[in-house]
Amino acid sequence: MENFDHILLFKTNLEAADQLQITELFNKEGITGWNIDLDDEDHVLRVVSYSLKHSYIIQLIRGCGFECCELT
Amino acid sequence: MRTRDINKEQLVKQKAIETIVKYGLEGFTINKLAKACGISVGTPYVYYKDKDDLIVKIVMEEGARMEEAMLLDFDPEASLEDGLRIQWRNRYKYMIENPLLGQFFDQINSSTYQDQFLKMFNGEEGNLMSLFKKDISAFIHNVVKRGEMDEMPFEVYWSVAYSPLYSLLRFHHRGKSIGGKPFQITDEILWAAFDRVVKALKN
Repeated sequence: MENFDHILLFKTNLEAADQLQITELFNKEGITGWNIDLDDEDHVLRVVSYSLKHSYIIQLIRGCGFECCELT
Repeated sequence: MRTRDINKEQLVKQKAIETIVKYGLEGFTINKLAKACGISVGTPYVYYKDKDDLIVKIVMEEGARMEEAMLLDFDPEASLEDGLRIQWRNRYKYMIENPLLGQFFDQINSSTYQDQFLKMFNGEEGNLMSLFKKDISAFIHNVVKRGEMDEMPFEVYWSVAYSPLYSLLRFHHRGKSIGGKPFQITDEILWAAFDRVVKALKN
């Protein structure tokens, strides 16, 4: 079976207007594969990364003043 | 460890179609979908990036499946009656076996996604339904060239050729015809309507 541990999912309060800020933040970290599902009530942030951990992303997003926790 | 599970992927897709047909596209979210499937909210995101990605992928996959079903045994060189009969058989079979998908595509066609899909449906090679469009155009061209049918605007051809079929199928799926009369489609009814259609189109 294919492994999907590299898809990291978070519940956030990010809005469309915050995408630019997140783009800059993630570019600096070398994270390119990500998107936010703004249609969903959890404003799900989806990051594709083979090396980063959930806790690291949460720290980054929270550091910018947004809410972010792992989506379970 | 999170792993791809084909059964779960199929369940997510099936439930997405059901949920969209039942509640429409506007209020559809991945959260609601996960609840309908009884799975965790994260699971659909393993397969799809977001709501748009999910809808586009389902339309592409199901569109390809529909194209294959519609072209089964279809020969663009066939006579008007034979070619049309295969089209009726294929469409009838597809709609009976996939009652939700007809409604799903109706929802898509009356949504903001319509423009996006019309672009995919522009007939260029490799695009959604391009083979289907090519074969159907060739079929019409051939029957006109052989003098079996007069040339007419495509919309006129389509309306005469298929509207009776889709009306009967709509009655069937509702279980009622005009005035609430109980209705169920049978092969006899189907092919009786087909004979009338051939009479209308054939020279």
